[in-house]
Amino acid sequence: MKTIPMPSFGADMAEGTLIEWQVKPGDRLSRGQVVAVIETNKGAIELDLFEEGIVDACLLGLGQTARVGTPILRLRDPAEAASATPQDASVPVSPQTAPAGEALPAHAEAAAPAPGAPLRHAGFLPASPAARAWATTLGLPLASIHGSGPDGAILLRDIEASQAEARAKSAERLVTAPASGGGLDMAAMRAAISATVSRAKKEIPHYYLSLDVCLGAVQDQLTAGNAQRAVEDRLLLAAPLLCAIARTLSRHPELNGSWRDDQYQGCQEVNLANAISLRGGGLLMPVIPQAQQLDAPGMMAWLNRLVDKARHGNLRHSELNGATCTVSNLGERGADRLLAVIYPPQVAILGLGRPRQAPWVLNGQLTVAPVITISLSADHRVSDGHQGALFLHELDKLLQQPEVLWTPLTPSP
Amino acid sequence: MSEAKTELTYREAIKAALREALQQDPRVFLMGEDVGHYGGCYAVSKGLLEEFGPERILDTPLSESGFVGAGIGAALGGMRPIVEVMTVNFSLLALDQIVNNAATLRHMSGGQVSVPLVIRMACGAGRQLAAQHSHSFEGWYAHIPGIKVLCPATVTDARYMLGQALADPDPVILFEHVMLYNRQESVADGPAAPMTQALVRRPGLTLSLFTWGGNLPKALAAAERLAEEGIEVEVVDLRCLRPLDKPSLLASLAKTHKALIVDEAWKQGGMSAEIAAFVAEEGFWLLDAPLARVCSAEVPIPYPAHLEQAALPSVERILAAARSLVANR
Amino acid sequence: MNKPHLNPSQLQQLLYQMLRIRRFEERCAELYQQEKIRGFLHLYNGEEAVAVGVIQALTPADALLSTYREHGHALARGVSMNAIMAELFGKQSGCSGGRGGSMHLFDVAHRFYGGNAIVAGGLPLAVGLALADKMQGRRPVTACFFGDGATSEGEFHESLNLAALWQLPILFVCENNRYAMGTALEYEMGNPQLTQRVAAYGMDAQSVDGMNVVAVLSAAQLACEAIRTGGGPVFIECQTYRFRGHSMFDAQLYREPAEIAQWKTRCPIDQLSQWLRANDQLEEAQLTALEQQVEAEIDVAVAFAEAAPLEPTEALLHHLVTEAPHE
Repeated sequence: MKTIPMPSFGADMAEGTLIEWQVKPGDRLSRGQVVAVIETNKGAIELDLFEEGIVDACLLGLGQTARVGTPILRLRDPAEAASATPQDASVPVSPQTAPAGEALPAHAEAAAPAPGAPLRHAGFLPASPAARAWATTLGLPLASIHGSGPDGAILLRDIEASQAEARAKSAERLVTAPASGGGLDMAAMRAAISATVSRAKKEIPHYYLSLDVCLGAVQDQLTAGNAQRAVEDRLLLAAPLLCAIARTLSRHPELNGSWRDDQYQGCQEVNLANAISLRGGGLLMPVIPQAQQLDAPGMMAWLNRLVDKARHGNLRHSELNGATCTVSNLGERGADRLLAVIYPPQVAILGLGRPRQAPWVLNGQLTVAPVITISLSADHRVSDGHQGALFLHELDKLLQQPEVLWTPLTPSP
Repeated sequence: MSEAKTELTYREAIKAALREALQQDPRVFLMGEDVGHYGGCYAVSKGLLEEFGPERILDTPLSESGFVGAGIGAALGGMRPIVEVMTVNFSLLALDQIVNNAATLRHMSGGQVSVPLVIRMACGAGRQLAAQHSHSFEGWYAHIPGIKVLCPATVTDARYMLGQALADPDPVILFEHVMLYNRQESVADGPAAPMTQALVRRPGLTLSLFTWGGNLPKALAAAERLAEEGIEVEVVDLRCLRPLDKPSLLASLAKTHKALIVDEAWKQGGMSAEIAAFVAEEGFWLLDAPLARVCSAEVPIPYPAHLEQAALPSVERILAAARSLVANR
Repeated sequence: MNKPHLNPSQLQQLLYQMLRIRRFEERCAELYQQEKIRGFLHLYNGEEAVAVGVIQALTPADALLSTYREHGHALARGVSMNAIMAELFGKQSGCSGGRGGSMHLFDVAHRFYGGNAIVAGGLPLAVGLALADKMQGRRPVTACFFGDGATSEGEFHESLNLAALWQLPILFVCENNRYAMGTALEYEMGNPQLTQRVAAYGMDAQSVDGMNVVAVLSAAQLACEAIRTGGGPVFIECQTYRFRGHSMFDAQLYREPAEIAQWKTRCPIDQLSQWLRANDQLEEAQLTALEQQVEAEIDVAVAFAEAAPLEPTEALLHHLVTEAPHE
């Protein structure tokens, strides 16, 4: 007997996910035969073997991930007898790989699978369709997630839990061992971000516009408003800024919507994603639904809640979906200008630079004023620079009359 | 002002809708068994004969196929008939006219004729009327391309769906669940939505409950109790079974990822099966749990009260199904 | 019987109408065998006098409903032969846009409300059309054709009762060709005297020789007059016979060749042309000219149908519900 380990296809490969077995127990291998397809962070790669022998057992299930070096295939010499446990041909994901049982009880309303009943392809990871879809979006291998559902099925809640755990771990690592490399979950998040931005840069013809906006009026209004509030209730600059952006976007459906299947669908309501960078690295983009209806205090409440949930890993799947546009805000410690990458299927993203004191010409006089550079990255398939510029100027105009941002808009009837 | 003020029963709401239709359009007339002198089997049309006269409130003989067909013919001839079939059970005698004529004439004639006909019928179980008077066949009718199938579940829908149906140039069937006639609710000033649109009657994030007609009150009562357990049920009233408001179904599913269908008809080959198939086809990747259905037991509806109730969807059965769905075990 | 006064040219016109139907049906049989026409095809050979006689008594304001054996009614009513043939070919230029085929010819402009392929299915519609006319104070007649088989259906009895109850302006025309598909009258009715059964509903019912176009026309004229003057519905039984099978695929096991031959001696076209020639009202050359005119018209119709476009498949879901704002 000998085992074949998860191969290393390159120095930077730490692990691989099995996506296809091209052999089955009992097959006789010939030299150079492709036995499996392994998904790596660089794509799917065929594993060809130059061993001779008979496949005794496949040790890794479809969709399962193993670190380089972990045994994945067991071969025996043609002279050896078959292994004593042929049913162990694939590593079962859960103990129940028994053949299908009888039909479900006739009156089972919730149609819960009867214990031990499911007929399952060996190596198949049970997961709900929604969990499968969400894991794919996040770039998470299902095998890395513990399933809590019936018969070990992976459910949405398991993915949420796995992410929360990953974030907690990475935060812990940062505190305890800041030098250590990223663990699996951070890597997955990095991979997801990487996949998304690569796709965005490949598919979306971006154009970029920036406008310097004087924040004097907004800051006056903030100061006046905050004077009447307890310290913990005070509003941050982001609240009126996001509020103004949402309201202006609602009049610009060419920047607010989604591009799917070569078709653009603009939206009246603004579900504004707010990019939140996590302390352990990584990025989450929780969504503020119907943001155009919020006033600045309402926006602040949302921001507090989402930032808190994001940093504690409590965001739900639904809170991360359905954005029609995104704002990325570098905050006080950022750079002056942020030209962000659009998050598909959205067609625009706003980058907020660092608010700063800068020379400013007011009524022909050179003064020093608080200034922020607001940048728009937009999809040229849907809008053009003229529309983008109009948007930025409307936004500027609104920020010069900030009192309206403290008045809630009632939804139109 | 969208505040509702007037309280009406479901029965009164339909009568008000009938009166309004008869007043507004001289082409409208009501025809059916016992709609005139008797006042309607469920007293919906009581007093209309006196008000509008025998020319417009026509008592018919017990000839379902004959007078439903006559309604189709009158619609072809320029009238706007409202045909009342006393109960859905008797409509089986008129299936030929509904399926072979009302639903097909436009198509067979290459679009030359419209059949602007409204058929109303009582449906559903719950009054110990036994096996021949307790049917829920709205799903059967929803099978037929060429007709629209409405199931008003609220008094506001009872008040306004008839007018919306009459404004439609094609045949529309309205199903009035017998257990709703005595319900009293406040009525809005106008229709809640276009007649073919589903409405969220109670928002929630835990699971989507799809139902219509006579089951809506049961669904809402169950949702109320489940909320106390932290299970937030989104109750979606389909309102119209053909055309089905598929985007609304998917929108709810996208929020909750779990679906429970409550249908008073039998499971096999029924509307609940259709919705389940639709969800599997177009909402598969949204599902985080197997679909669940609460339907009538696969038996003709029995007469004794305890057996009838055991056969029908109940609040308790909805509760159990929802809990099981959420527990996901 | 009250004989209508018909001049020779009117009689020749009746002959022409019947000839036109006969030759059309014969061409249809040919085209069916060439697979140009598909589906069910029910031909009207032998029964021409009924459609021609009754429809001659109608005005353009009157409405018609027919059965699946309705080519003759559509032709006699004036529906374009081109459009009928195109319909049989399933073409978009057909009188029902190609959607109906042989059994569902429609032409609302001629108030021709369709071939209905459910036996007796058209009778309730006739009740409704007449009811609408009555409610709107209009006085046209609704003529409703059906076969003897329909008289066993519940819808027949329901409709006759409703029509009599509401005194509706309907002319019920029963084309009694003695067979409900392949079941002879004596196997389908306890009382084969149709007029007796109908009279029970309180409706005027009469029986005429359906192989004699003049007799049919005469009865129809009288009936229409009675209906128009508010006399309520009238039922006419036309005793007739179809010379061909029920549809194209019929071995006719249920009747004897001798019976068919016997009825063919009463062919309505032969009867009329022989009578006209015996009375010197039609010359051989005139008859030949009529035949040629009919053949030419059919040739044109076939060419039209051949050349007509098929509806694009993308339009499959059209004509289901109203797509555009409706009048």
